Amino acid sequence: MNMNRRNFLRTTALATAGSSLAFAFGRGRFGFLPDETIKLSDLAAVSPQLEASFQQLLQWLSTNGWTNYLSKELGIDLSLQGDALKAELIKELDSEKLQAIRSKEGSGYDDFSGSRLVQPGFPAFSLLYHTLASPRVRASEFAAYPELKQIDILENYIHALYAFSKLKSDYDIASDKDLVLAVFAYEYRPAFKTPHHQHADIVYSRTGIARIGTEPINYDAINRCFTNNPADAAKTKLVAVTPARYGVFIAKKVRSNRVDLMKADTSKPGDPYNDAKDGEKWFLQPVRKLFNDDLLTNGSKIDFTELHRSEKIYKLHVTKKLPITGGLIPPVLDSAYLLMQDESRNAGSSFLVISIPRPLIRHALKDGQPLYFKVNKGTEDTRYFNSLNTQAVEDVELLQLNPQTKNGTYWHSVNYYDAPRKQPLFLNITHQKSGQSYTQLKREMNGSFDKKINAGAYDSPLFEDSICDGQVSVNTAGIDFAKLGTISKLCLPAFSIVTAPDFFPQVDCFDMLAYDIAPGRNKKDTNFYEGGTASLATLRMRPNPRVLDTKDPTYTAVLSKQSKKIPGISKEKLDTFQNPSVDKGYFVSGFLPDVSSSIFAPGWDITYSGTKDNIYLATEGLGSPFTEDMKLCAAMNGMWPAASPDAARTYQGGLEPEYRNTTAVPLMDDEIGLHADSPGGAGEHSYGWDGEQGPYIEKINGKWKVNFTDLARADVVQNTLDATLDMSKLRELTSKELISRMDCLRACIQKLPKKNFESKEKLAKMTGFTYHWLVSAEKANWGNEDVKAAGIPENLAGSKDWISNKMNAKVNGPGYLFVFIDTSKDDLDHRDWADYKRRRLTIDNLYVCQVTEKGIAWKEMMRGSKKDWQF
Amino acid sequence: MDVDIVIIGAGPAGCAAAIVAVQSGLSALIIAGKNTRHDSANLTIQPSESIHPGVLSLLELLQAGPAIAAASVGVYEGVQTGETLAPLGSSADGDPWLGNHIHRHRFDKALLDAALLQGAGILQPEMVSDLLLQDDCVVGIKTMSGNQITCKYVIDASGYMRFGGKKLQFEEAFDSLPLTAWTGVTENIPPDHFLYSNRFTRFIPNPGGWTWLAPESGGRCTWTMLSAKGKQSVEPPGELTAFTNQGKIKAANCRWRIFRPVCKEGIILCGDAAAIVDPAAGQGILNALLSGMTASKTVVSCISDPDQEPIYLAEYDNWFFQYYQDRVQKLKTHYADLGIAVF
Repeated sequence: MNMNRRNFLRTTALATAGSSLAFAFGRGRFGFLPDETIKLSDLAAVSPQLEASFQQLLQWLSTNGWTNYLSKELGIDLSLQGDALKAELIKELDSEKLQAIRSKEGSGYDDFSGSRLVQPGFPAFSLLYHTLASPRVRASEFAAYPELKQIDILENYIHALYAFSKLKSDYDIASDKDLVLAVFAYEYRPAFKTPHHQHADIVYSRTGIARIGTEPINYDAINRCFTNNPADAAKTKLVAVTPARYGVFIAKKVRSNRVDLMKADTSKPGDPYNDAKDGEKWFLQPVRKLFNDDLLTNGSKIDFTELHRSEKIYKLHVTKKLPITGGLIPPVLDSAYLLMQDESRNAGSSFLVISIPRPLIRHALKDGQPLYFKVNKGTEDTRYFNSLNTQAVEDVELLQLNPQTKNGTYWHSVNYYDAPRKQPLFLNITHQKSGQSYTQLKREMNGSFDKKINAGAYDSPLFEDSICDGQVSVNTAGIDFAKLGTISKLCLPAFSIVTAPDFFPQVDCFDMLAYDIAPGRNKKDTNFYEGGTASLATLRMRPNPRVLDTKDPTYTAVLSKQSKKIPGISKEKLDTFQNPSVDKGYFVSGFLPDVSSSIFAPGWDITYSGTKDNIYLATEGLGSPFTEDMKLCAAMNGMWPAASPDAARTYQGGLEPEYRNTTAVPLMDDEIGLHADSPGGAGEHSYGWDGEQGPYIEKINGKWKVNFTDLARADVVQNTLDATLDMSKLRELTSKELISRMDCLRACIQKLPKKNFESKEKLAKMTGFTYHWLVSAEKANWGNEDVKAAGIPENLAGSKDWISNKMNAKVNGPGYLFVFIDTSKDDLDHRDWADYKRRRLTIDNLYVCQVTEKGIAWKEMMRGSKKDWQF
Repeated sequence: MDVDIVIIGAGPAGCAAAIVAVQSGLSALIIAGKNTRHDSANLTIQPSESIHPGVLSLLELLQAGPAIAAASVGVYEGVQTGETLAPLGSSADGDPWLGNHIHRHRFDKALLDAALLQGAGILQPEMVSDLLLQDDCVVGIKTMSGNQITCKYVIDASGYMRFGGKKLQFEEAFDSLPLTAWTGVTENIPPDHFLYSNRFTRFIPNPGGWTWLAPESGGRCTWTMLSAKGKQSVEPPGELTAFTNQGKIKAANCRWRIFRPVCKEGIILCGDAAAIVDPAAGQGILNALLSGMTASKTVVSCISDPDQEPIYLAEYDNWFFQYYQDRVQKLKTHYADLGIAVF
């Protein structure tokens, strides 16, 4: 037995001795760039195949204006050949010219961290890589932008030029036993989205998030990312599948103080699965990519493998004995059915997990036979609005007084993860078998629909979607390990999640952290009554053991190398990189867990399954189909996790009076759908992102009423089948825009008279507790442009000139026109139906707000419209 | 090399580790103390332990399913705290899940028999006196009787003795105040006593600890108490002082604590030898079985793929720490709800 195996404890002792000591052991240059001169003789040999690929890339750069651009800006000559070219690649760049291009407004180099065109071994510190891979580098001289395969070649080339032995020295690797082959999802990101916000960097995770869609993948070359906007411009309302990209790396076992982790510092005391104790855990840090035509592996071909399963509908049979007509057992869906299996998966030496474009939801089949199930009789426990609820779940995270503090601060109660969802939590039952097909249950103004849903005993079609989870690995049998020392021939797979479309592809939970309440933050109020801003990147829970044999809870961590301060980047710039509300200038999109929601009830991107004592991440507990749960989550102020659409104000009147999520992230009237009968709807009516329509004010028999969609009659599954979901409504929304909306909403609630919903009556004045219902929202440029005031009826206060004419604005600049109402209580026994799915409630108060981030003017309209504007 | 794996301790963690090892084709030698659990003491009266129904599925994996039936001295449907009844759960058909009060000696004996039947070896009575180290790696053990046994791995399942962590001077991280738990058996309880009003065990919280009453058939009740006030009050609970206390009262240090790390090259700690959370977690045996099995699987991986040993150990350390955190946080929450202030 090998006795030289001290590494585990050696590193352990170091970590427990105190993190301040750890750095003393590192090499001086570990912080991170080798600063000595690199000589040609230092470079490792590159295979002829890779050299040829690199030459082709250079040719492409020359043809498309990139070579000239680099020559003009930095005096670089990429037309050189042989050793002269290599010398040009590795020379120190002219520091004045480098600083000049960094400082040049809009150049996209302000977050570049290196000093050479190529820093052998380190793509992120190589200016050529930054130029090709950063979505912020764009210039009129560029005739085209590189494809992912070209960026992959450059990555490989930069790695290939550096001897592995030197890399081991740079990373302080004493023994091969601390190394392992592992698959990572990875992205090159501008400083805005790196864990350290110091400079652009490659960011890694052992988990990737691909997303389903109806259209084929679409690589947006100028933004250097895949977009869910279909390539066919006529299909912009639809959704393209988005892949996650994986590579295989030699990785090093490290403590958390050796890398920079994407952290939120919002972990709640008592949450057993947060990242607060990361100091006690081990992580894997990628050190060297392996690729095709790599001399380090004697030219071995990298052969990726994947295994995915969707057990959503199968588990309904296993755990709930769902009575399927004919005794059929729903199938486990596998990779062959769910994921692209052709060459499109290979992006050079990296691998893409791509969902097969299909209708978002489908009638499930077993061996070609459509599946129906007998709907059970409804009880309080088995129905939630018009969904079948398969399991009682109480682990919701509600805003409340923090019991652990005595000074009246608030928090979201802790999720104890004690209700694993072993099968879809919510099932759609709004359709029934009819002949050889099915029809939507008839919704009428009386209660017959609700009675039918509650009585059950009809055959409902079982719907499926393509959400699944799995693993990505590499077949190491084909890899020559001769030059890899004693690194094990096993490869640790990555966890792969293939989940719902991202309606807010440009916004993630981290963008909204400052707008939520959490321990360790000064923020005293929040817009979020339920859920909040938790990101999957901060969850520490093992992946589904049925797809990945590991118990490691660190899989969804997102990390980069430890950052270093870059001398050429000013403090102002660094502040900008940390500010989520600035314009970033590129389509901010990602596929790592930090852009994914954590577990909620049940969850949007993923949830947890298992037994109480042994839980794990899995998709099998998500809604069946996912849009059933999407409707419920959106109605509860934004699907629980913040960075997802918020339809609370569509349905607000129908929610329980003592438990009533307000809108947290306001969507505009057009985004949630403008009804044809609404004041501004004539000729301009539209359907919202979810195929539904928002509330509006009308006068009925001399009384002001709000007309709104009842949550128990809305049917987003039908909307999905009808393809009326509209991704284009929200796709372009940025964090800057959403933050502005949240700020303005907060300003209104602070100014308006306090009115909380029932059970929160005595609690603080904050958006999360408010009873005020945002019934209309419109973007405005106060004083500079007229507003439409589409939410305000003509007959509310005479001609609308008083609000629509820019001359009458009481505030100035970009902002919003918000209209709030308070309604009478929902009388369950005497509901006022407007049609088969819309109801009315009487309006008690009505407030009109002109609001900007700097100022607000508001006016109470109902109890005497003569009241003056208040400020 | 005398044997692939030496396992210190013949309790549930050690037996589970041994069974997984032999099922994986490795040789395993259990070092069982001079503890008389496995022979004549089998029939004496001793405090029983309550185990969760989830234990059964693990025992079945270990081919030791009958251990529960062999050791059961009574069943319970749930836990009663104050007036609140919390059933353990029920099957799809509505039958209540039953937990078992088990006679621990018989349970351990049945589990050990299963391990021996499947091919594990045993040295008994024997005590480990020291670890053999070479290049800072554990390569075997020394015993009280002077034996030296070399092996590829040691699995420390020594329970409250916590042999390996102490010997290697691992640091301990604490998550509660110092806590003492003591347990005993009371007999001759009349059938009309409140304990027999249903098939529930009783959990009675107080600000500094709790009392656990586990009634068995025949008018017997095992009780356990926990206090943050130290050992001065090691007495049977007030509810039972009118009846006969039988046998010795056993006390133990139940402060919530974990060794950091819980493994290094050549040794893996599991069960109570690695971390202790007081018995109210109700999962001592579940934890022992689960961590013993996981430790053994990790050893199998380390032996079959030594080049990746630190990576396997890191995964075990991550998993065990997270698992411990989960139990600590759940218990903290439970205690906070009940007004028990021990942390």
